[in-house]
Amino acid sequence: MMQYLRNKVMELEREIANRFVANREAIRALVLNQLHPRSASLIRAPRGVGKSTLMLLLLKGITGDDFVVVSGASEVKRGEVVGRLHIPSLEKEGVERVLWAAFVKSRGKGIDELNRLNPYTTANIHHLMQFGEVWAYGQKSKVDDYILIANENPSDATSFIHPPPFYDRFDICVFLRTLTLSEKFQLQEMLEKYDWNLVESMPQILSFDELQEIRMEVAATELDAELTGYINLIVRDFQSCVRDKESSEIKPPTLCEGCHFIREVCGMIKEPVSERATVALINLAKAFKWFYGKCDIDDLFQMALWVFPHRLSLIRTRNILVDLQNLLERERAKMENRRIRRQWALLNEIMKGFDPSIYRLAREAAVEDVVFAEELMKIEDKWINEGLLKQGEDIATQMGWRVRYGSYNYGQWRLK
Amino acid sequence: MNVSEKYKSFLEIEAKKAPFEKRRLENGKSFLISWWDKTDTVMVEKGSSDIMNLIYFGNDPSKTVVIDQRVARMIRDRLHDLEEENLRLYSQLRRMKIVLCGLTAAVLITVFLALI
Repeated sequence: MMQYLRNKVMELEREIANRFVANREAIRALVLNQLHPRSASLIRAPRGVGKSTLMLLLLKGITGDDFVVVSGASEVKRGEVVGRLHIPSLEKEGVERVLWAAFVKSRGKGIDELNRLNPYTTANIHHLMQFGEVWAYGQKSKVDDYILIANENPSDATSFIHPPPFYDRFDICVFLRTLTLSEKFQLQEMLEKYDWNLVESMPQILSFDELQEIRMEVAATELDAELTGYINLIVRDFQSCVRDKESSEIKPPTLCEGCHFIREVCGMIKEPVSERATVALINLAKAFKWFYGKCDIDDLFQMALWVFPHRLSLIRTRNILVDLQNLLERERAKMENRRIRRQWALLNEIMKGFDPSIYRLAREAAVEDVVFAEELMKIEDKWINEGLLKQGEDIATQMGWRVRYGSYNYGQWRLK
Repeated sequence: MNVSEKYKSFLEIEAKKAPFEKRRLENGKSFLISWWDKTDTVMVEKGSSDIMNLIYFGNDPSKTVVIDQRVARMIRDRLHDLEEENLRLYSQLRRMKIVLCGLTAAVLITVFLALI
């Protein structure tokens, strides 16, 4: 059965690739991201590159005709995307009955030109993605499992700027590129082959029941401790800051002035990624393992390029994908450095108990690595409470760091 | 302190992959902590690893530079040619020095004869 379902997913990818020139990486990412419940994907591209086509191909391939697309460019009536009041019931019976919109009921949900949605509709969709329910006229409706695919051209002028938490609800964000010379020929041949109707010719490959079965199997897929560790490590490296930038009013690069870690990855990130990045990476890694039979660190770094771009902002952005790729390369080198310095072996030892000689080496490593320092500081706190270390001898006090962990700076008022 | 079992096993795995050794020194008081790399590792770094890019495009070299057999032979021949050219220029220079000395002497003698 599992092989049968895997073949179906493979067929879906193939059928889409048969109708969509180039951008194979984006297609692969989008297909993989559908393999967990309530998936949400975002496609970003310049005008006319095929964002809407790719979105429709996916919706059609998975839900057949059971999909609804709302358009940011034309969707003007506030609230209609969720539901409207049934006027005859109100007039005849005096009862407020809500007719839930097709967008809410359908399995496949598409949003064209996401950046043009009005704030009211955005808020409704945000709530749907967050809680799996919608509200209209004081009534609530549960929304069943779905796939949600949206697209936008970030360079287009928009009426409203959506808040970062809204974009954070999208598991992945893939970018499409324009076609090269030979690819343009390919596209023309493809259009002729399918009679200029790529979307109409797309068959439904998976039934939604089959997709849900896949989603259950993917959810049951186990990730080993090593891979989970790397996922957490990548995300943490893109979050941590000794000056607590998450809650600071001053942001990098100003915040980083005079900081010991100014040359690190953290110094390049203005707004860090949220914890949802970890969830998205875990879901993708599970889907990858279910589909390809294995998932390694190289695959994780590839996935980070789909999971991070819409979740963070950098101090200087020339091309978000190129900049992010450079940061990920540095992250890769940092991981290798940690191995060379035996950081995890040191941490593993001091977790077992206080050992002055190992602690000294761990302190040296912590001076070069924020994530490691955070973990060491937690252990130091424990040692201080146990009387193994004196207050003021810990690395945070000596280096003047204010790293937040557990709860908000509660570490500074230690329980005796 | 609550520590996840998966986190512990992550540290165990990483510690096994890159272990260190701790042993007591002969004085019986201090410890020596040491480690070594069993395999050669190459860090991903900026710069070119190709010698041709270094020579012709002026790229900065990375720590490890790869050189092909044909390129090595070509460089050896080039060095040989340069050595020969060097020797040829050196002998030419010596000859020119002699000529220059002769000419200087001739000019000095001419000036001397003209003055007296």
